[in-house]
Amino acid sequence: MSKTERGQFIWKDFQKEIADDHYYYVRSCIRQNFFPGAEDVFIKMVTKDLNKDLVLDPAHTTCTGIGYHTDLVKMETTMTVIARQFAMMNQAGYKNLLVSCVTSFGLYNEILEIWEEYPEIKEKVGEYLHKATGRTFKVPENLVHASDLIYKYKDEISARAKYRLINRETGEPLRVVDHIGCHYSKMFPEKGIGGAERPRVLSGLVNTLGGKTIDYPERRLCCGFGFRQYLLKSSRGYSLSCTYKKFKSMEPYKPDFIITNCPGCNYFLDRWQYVISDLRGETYGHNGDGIPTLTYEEVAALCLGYDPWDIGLQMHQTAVEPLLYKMGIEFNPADKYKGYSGKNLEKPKIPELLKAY
Amino acid sequence: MKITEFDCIIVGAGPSGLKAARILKDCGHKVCLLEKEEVPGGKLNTWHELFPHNESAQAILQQMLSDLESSILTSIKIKAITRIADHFAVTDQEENEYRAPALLFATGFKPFDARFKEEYGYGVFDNVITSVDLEQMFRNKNFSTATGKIPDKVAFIHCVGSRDIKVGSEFCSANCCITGIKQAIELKKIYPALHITCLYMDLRLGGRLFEYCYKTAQMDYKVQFIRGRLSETNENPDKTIVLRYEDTLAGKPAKITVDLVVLLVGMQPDNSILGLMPDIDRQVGRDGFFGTGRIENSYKNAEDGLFFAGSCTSPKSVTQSTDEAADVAFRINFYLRNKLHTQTTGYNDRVRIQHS
Repeated sequence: MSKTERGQFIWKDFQKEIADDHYYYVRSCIRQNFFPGAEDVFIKMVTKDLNKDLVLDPAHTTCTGIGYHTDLVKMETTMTVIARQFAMMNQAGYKNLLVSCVTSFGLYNEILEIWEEYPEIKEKVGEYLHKATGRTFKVPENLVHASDLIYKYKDEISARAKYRLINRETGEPLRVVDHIGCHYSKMFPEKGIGGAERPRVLSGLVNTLGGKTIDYPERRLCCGFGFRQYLLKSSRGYSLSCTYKKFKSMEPYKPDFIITNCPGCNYFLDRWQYVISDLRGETYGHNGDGIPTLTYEEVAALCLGYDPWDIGLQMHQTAVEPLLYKMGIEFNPADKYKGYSGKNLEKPKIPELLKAY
Repeated sequence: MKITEFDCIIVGAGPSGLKAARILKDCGHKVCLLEKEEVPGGKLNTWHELFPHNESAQAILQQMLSDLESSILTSIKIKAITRIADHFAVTDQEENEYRAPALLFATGFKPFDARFKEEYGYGVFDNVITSVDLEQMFRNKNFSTATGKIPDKVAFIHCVGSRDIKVGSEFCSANCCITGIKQAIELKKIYPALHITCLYMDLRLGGRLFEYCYKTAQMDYKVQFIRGRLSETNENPDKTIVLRYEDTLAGKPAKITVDLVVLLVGMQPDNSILGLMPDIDRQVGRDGFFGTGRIENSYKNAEDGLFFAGSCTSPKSVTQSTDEAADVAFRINFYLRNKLHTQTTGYNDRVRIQHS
């Protein structure tokens, strides 16, 4: 059996059902604050480019994920809040829950699993919800992460792509590091495309768009966020050292960019590059550049021809221009720091070492 | 359709099937030995040397074949097994039918498919191989990494697909620990400078001289044993493999880099025969192997002329398999004597059964 055939064997057991249309969308607490353009363009791509029905309900709330993982919110409270999300979905007439955040995705799956194992807990939560809000709920028929949806429609995206993940000058595929949020499939491997060890959800998208993913030794290591590592100020050294280890491991492969599917991971792999450059005097791109760190929807949108500044790529601390030049994307560098109205928002303070544009 | 009648049909011409066939033949029975592969011998064809005496697997196989002195039907793909009155009828791919009042399954085991432990990287990284692959390297005299280099450092990983609830294999395969030790010694004999590390969960060395082999590996060959649980493997740019594991004695995470990783794969029940015979699944225990393993049942082994022997009843070494096969062969002999209403005075008297 060839290596490819043996590799294919691994993926085939980790496919999942992804509903075709009609999604009730639940937002992340942090994604739209860190990278507002990413969520905006995701909704545009799903509703306009892919012509799917997606409802964004202003009455839905946090899933409590960060509070839950830091022991600030009790399990029963978390479950009741999530039951309310489902009740809101039922009220809107939807059966498919589309989750924006990887932390939420893990938490939704965890709670559904608990309810399946212990129906009496589900019943109790139903009572809490009814007592608090007068609502009842049914669990979703289909629960997917937003990156699952982009994976499902990767061929359609590829067919419409104006740009591909190919170096314009050399004609070679771009070298891409994919980083999957831990809560996407490490908790429930069967819930993620490709399982926990070698997830396919981002590498499948990258390959379809013409790029090549890199398998490097610390591929599965945490991005450095790790909730407690970062949220407890005293532990932030662990967060930074974790990210540092990842960069040292991927550095020899000279990646052209990093793709992530979790808002936290994207933030940390992006921002810590600046901190590492300041603390240790190291940068990991070519000639003082960092390694651009993009989310999956930003990558898909770039390929579809969206303007880099319209989709908010200027919000990344590690400059994305090296990637834009490699892909041959037409853009106006002067528009980087302009708001929607065209008003110049002024350049932020430029770091000393990590190259900015 | 061609129908041929026998006293006993044996499915599987591995060590157990060969041993049982020889005894039954010596007892005067007409035996049909069916083998799905092109050559008889079962797993003896994939092994180089056998523990604990490092005997040649090929030499043992040749000895067993010459002892048997009768032909074996090879490349037989069984399509169906049915009961007709008090006989078993086995039909092959050519629609030939073999009938006998006794049927012995000596179908052996299959090695655990290491791809299921995907975090170990088999099938993903070229320099992660299994103990079965290593035996092939010994046989072909081509031990090297994927790039053709003789490694400096090799790691053996114990219990791959054994005692692992995550892959649905909760039992101990009983032979992998000693296989790893045997292979480590074999490697050190050829390449004395090789640095070998074994990451084990427990070392279960219950067989005769196994403990001696373990001590020899440590004292004479300087093989390093670490009680460590592997969590994942990763590949470096130079194709060496990083092993991330927990040292379970120190209670600390640790990392080593090696040139080649050998996964000591466990023994799995080979259930390919299950779909071919109605109700055969009633004979399968909760671990997937045939039979009950109960002492009180050992005198009959199975019901109504159906018998099992060798590593299809539990993980076994070649010695254990052939011992069980001999025991079962004598039970078949008694069963047939009663069934055929034929008087024989026993194996030692060599009184032949007269077939009508």
